Order: sequence, then structure tokens, then C-alpha cells
Amino acid sequence: MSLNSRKGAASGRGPALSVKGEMQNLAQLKPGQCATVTVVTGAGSALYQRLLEMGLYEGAEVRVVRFAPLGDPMEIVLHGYNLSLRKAEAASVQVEVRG
Amino acid sequence: MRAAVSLEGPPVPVPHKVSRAALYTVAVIGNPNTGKSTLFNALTGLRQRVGNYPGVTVERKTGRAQLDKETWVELVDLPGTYSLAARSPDEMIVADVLLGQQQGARALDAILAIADASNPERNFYLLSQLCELGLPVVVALNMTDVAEHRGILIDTHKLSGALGTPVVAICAHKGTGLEALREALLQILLKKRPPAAPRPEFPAPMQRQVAALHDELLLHAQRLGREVSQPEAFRVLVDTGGYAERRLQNALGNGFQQSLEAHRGLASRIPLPAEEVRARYAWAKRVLAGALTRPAQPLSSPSDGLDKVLTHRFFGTLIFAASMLLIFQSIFCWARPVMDLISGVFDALAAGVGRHLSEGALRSLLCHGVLGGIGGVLVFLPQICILFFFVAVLEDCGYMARAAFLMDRLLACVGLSGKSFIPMLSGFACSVPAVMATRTIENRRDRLTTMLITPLMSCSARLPVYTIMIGAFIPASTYAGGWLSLRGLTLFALYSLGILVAVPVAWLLKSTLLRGETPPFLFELPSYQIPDWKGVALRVFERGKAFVLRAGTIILAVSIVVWALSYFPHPTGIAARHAAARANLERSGALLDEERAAQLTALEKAETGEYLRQSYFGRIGHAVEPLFKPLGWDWRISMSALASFPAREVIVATLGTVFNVNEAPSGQAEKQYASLRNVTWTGSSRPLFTVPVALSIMVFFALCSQCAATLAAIRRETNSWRWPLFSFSYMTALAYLGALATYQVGMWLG
Repeated sequence: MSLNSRKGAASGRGPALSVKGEMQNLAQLKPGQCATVTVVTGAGSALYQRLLEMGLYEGAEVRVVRFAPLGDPMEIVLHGYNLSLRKAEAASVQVEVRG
Repeated sequence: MRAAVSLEGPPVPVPHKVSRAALYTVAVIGNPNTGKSTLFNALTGLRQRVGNYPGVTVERKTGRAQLDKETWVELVDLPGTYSLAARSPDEMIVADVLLGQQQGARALDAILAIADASNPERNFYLLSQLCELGLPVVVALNMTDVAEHRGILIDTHKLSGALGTPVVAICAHKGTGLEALREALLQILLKKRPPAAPRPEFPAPMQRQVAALHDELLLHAQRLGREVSQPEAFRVLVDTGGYAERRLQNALGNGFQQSLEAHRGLASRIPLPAEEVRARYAWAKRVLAGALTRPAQPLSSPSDGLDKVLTHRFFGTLIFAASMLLIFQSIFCWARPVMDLISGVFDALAAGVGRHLSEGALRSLLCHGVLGGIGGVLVFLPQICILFFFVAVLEDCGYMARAAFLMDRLLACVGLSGKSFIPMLSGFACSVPAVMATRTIENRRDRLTTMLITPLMSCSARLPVYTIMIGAFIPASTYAGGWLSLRGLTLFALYSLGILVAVPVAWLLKSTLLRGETPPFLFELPSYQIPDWKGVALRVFERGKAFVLRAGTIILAVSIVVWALSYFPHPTGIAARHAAARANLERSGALLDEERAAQLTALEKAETGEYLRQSYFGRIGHAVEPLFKPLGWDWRISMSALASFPAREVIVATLGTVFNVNEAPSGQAEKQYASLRNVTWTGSSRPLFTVPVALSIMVFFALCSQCAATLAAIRRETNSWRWPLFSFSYMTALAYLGALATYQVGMWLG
């Protein structure tokens, strides 16, 4: 299991070539990367509404802090607070990398 | 049982001990981790009352606070929430109480909204919803000290002007600002004015549809039996698939659903939650604009540095393991001396009572039924207090959220979340505090699943059963040059069994009975803080009290019933026969004093054993023998297992009595129980206790639900008999099947 999750962590950090301005989902970012939320997918679900309410709306600025030791969930900073979310959840947040 | 049953039903507001009647009712609400409980405790002190809302598992906490000489308010502590949008009945409680729709709760006079000053935008999202309810609002801006450390300054005067309602800066855990808060609350209760700030700017079509839906719902007032308010209509429109919608749909049917969809279609082209969120965050920015100063570059706080270590892949995991070990060790070992002390006191009490009463049913009832039962309740207190001390400290200082962050991946495999880890770990020490600790899990289905699988973890009460059985019947062979012993392996296998069974059970529960939409697992990782020690003490006290009062009555009742079943009918013939034998023994001069004393003890033991075999339990044992025979058990083992319903470890003593195992010097128990190897089936020379039988007994006790206290705790936490009954049934079924398989396979292998 720990092997699997390590692999998961690696893929969660995204490809090494995440270029500024490129569209990605939040789960693909690396720790330390900053991004702007462009759109949240999955309208109508509880997750969609909760992500928005927590501040992940269009235009919100986020920074990835770290991934948990087992690869999931991830920690991000937005609006000056730290939020933990699972990668599967973060995958529905589309972002534009700022560097 | 009567006392326990009377606790059911809606909580009737009972007058507090304070003689003056409360004049006002005020709800305290805010985001999680904003210090809401600390503020609530600081304002109310010990004048608190805890109950449950009817039909849900949400705790109802109220307390009285004094504002001035003749003004008291009843504060209602609502669960922390990020938004009034509700997906479940549990989440709906907040909105229902705020809208004055919760049955049994009084209409509110005002709202005390608490917001974290270090993170104002997200906190003001909820505030914007609160400001629309038509109720006066006082904003308590908490953790202004933490905010200042981060360079975040808020001018409360300007903010108050922008909101059109009082804003008071406080530090709840230091107790500063509380006087000003009381004064502001008093003023707003006299003026009764809702906030004057303009509402968030929702698009005009959306506003029109809210109004139209509201009008439509008012027409249904008779069918619904109530008038739906505009804020509720707003939630119905925006929260697709939310609880507010489902509730109305159940009452009004499909016609309503179609009309609702039509309103939604006209309200906006983009999803309505997106419109709501955009407007409310814009509102928060606007309101905060003149009052908030932030540093250009966010200052890193000591909390961030601490997190680098505490959530580090290696050190974080290490520290986590160490702290869990500390908690586990403390419930497992440190509680032991106090528990022994409590047992000792009750044994002494029982002995004292025994000396002052004459032989008979009353003495036995008092000594074994009542005192044994009360002792059996209080003996759990040390473990409960210790675990809740740690849980309260971990929650308060912010580490609980990190623990969930670290462990989430592991528990996600079975459909649970990181929040289930601490209750499940505690289950290895004792299920009772573990079940009570599940209330830190917000999601109802996750909480129930955790509550149902936690008792499968091998708790400390199973250990005596394991040690006696292993010591008496498992050969002491060793393998791998003495490194592995068969006894150690057996113990390890029994501990693993619980975990291995819990995984498929959790998965099954989550995919059948407790199936549902996976709840979003978003949670804040709050800044680290020094715990509020007064609050910690209060919570430990509260949990202990709740256990003794609510679960205790059930445990006591069970212990009396079990006593009665093992005491009656108490035939007089046995007493007469043994009295004669005793008299004979005392008269005979052939024996030395010590020998005579030993024989007298043996005789007494034999008498107790005979009574037990003749009791109703003995008869039940005979009746159920065919059922347990496939497990390799005779009627005496069966009755011992049944009589251990109050607590697993009881089976050790019961087996000893039923089979007349002689007293042993302490620490020699296993050797004494080894004499059980000579016991044979009644009327045959076939030995009863073989290795497969011993294994089948242990497997049964690893999986069974023989613990009245755990069931009582589940009853208390779920506020219903349904879940404890379910827990008992499924665990007993598993235990039976497990023991059956063990014995049959054991016999087949020889």
C-alpha cells in the first residue's frame, strides 16, 4: 500500500514541466506552486458547492503547501488560511499556474 | 431499564438552577476552529446543559450568561459551520435553529456571530448569510492577537460602520473583550435592529426567482404546516440536491420539483452556487475594504514553521506515531492503577455490606448486582477522562486536524476518513471512550461506521480472556530458535483478527446500510494554539458525567438482570447439604488447621459453583447447548459466555466458578486454569477443553459484543436503540461464525 501511495504522491506533484500560464487541475501542482482558479467542475454536487464556499471560486489565488506523507490529501493556502483536500477533490478545480 | 428509557424523546427545556428567568435567547455561531466553544464557556461558565436535538445526532448545548444585573440570555451553541447550505438533517439543524423552526427550541432574539480575525474573508462568507436572517447580529472578532502576529489589522469601528451592526474585538482564550461584548449584546437586544449593511449583490433575475419561489411556498403554507421564510426559499433555490430542497419535495411532491427547476432555469445561466459564492465573497471584500490592513507579503507565522516538522514525511510521521503511542499507553496502562483502586473500593464496600447483612437474596443483590454494577460503571471513568483530555487538547491546539491529514489516505481505503483514526486506535484500549470519541467525526455515516467497527479492535478487557486461555491450553512451543513462540503468535493472530475483520465490515457498511454520496473531505488546518485549559477540563468533566448518568443507568440495569439470572432460583437443598458437610469437616479432629481451612474454602467454592449450575443461566446453558455444540462448547461454557454479557472479562471468573477452579495465588491463574484440561463432557470421558475449543472461545471473544458498556455508549451517542442492537447482532453473528469455523477447521486438522 505504501508503495502505491508513494507513486500517487509523485503523480500528484504533476509533471516536472508545469509552465507558467498553463491550464491544469489543482491536484497536478507541485508544492510551492501558485495558481489562479479558473473554473470548478461538477456543478450540482455537494463537493462543487463546498469547494466554492471554502473560497475556491473563479479568480481565487491558491498556493500548494504540501502533500501528506502517504501522498493524499494535499494542503493549500488560500485567502490566508490553510485547507486540506483530497486529490480527487482537487482534481475538479481547474487552475492557471502563476509560477 | 426504566430510567434509561425516560431519557429518550425531545429534550424538554428544563429550568436551570439559576432562579431568574432568562429573558432572551441568542445563538452563538461561527466557522469551525474560531474559538466558538471557548467563547461559549467564557460567557456561560458552568451554567451549561447538554442534550440532543430530536431525530439527529447533533448535540444541543445551551448555557446561561449574565449581561447585567437583571438581564440574562440563554446562549445556544450551534455546531461550527462554513455555510448555511445543508446536505443532511444534521447540517440543517443550524439553519433551522436560526430560522426559529427547530421544534423544542425557542425563537431567537439575536445572533452572536464569531469570526476569526486572521482569516476574515472566509469567515465573512457565513456572516453574510447570517446578516440576511432579519435578526440582530453582534460580531465577535476573535483571535485578534493571532491576526496581529500575521500583520493583519482590523479597525472594528470602521467595520462596524460598514456592517451596520456592532463588532467587538476579543481574545476568547485570554478572556479579553468579553465585557464590551456583553455590553454590545445588551444594546442590540434592546434595539432589536438587524444589520444595516446592504445585501450581497445577487444578479437581478436570481433575486426575482427567490422572491417568486418564496411567494409560491407561502401558498403551500397550509400543506407544509408552516410559513417558509425568504432565507429558506433562497437555500431551496440555490442548493441543488440539498436538504432544504429534499424536505420540501417530500412534502409537496413532483409538481413542486418541476416548478423549482423552472425557477432555477430562470434565475441564472451559470450554476447558482457559483453566483451565490461570487456575490458573498465580493460582499466580504467590500465590507472589509476600509477596515482591513494586510501586509503586502504574508508574514510567515511560527505555526507554519511548526507545520513543516509536524507534517514532514519522516519526522511528522514519527511524532504522530509517538503521540498516538502516548495516548494508547496512557489509556492502556496509566488508567490501570485508578481502575484497580475503584474496583478495590467497591470490592471492599461489597465485603463490608456483606458482613452487615445476613445471608440471602438481598445481600447478594447489593454486593454483586448493585455494587458490582456501580463499580462496573465507574471503572471506565479513568479511561474516559484520560482519552477525552487528550482529544480535547489535540483539538484545541490544532493537531487533531493534522492527525486527520496524516492518516486520511490509510482510512480512505475502506471509505472512511482520517478523522476515524483516533477513535479506532483508542478502541484497542477500550471501546467505551473510543465510541464516545467518534463525535469528533462530523459526517454522520462515517461516525456510525467508526462506532460500529471500533468494538472489533481487541480492547484491554479481552486480554485476560486471551492470557488465561493461551496460558492454559496453547503449548509453549517455540520456533525460529526461540524467537517466535506459539503463544505469542496466537496472541498476535487474535489482535490482527479484529483489524482484518473490521476492514471488510467497514467497506460493507459504507456500501450498503450507510451508503451515500461521499461527503467532501475539506477541512481547515488551523494555526497552532495553546489549549484553553479551562475548556479542556470542562469537556473532560462533561464527558465523564454524561457517561455515568446516561450509559451508567443501562449498565447498572444489565448487571442487576445478569445477577438475578445467575442467583435464582437458589434452591435451599444445596445450602442444607453443604452446611452438613461443613459441620462434619469442622468436627473432625483428624485434620490440621490449614488443611481444614483449605477444604472449607474448596467446599464454599463447590457450593457457589453448584448454585450457578442450578441457576436460570445454567438452565439457559442447557437449552442453548445444541446451538453451541458445533463450536465445541458444552452447556457450562455456553452459560459462562452468556453470563459475560456485561463485560468480556467476566467469563474468566464465571468459568472458574462453574468448573470449581480452586483459588490460586495471584499471577498463577494460568496454571490453575490448566486444571480445566481434566474437565470432561458430562457423562463421558472425552476431554472438554481441547486446543480447538480454547481457540474457538478466544475467537468468539475477539469478535463478540459482550460488553454492555459499549452498547450503552453507542446508545448514548446515537440516541437510539437501533444501532446498539445492530452492533450486538452483527458482532455476535460474526463471533459465532468465526468460532464455528475455528473449531471445525481445528478438528479437521486434528
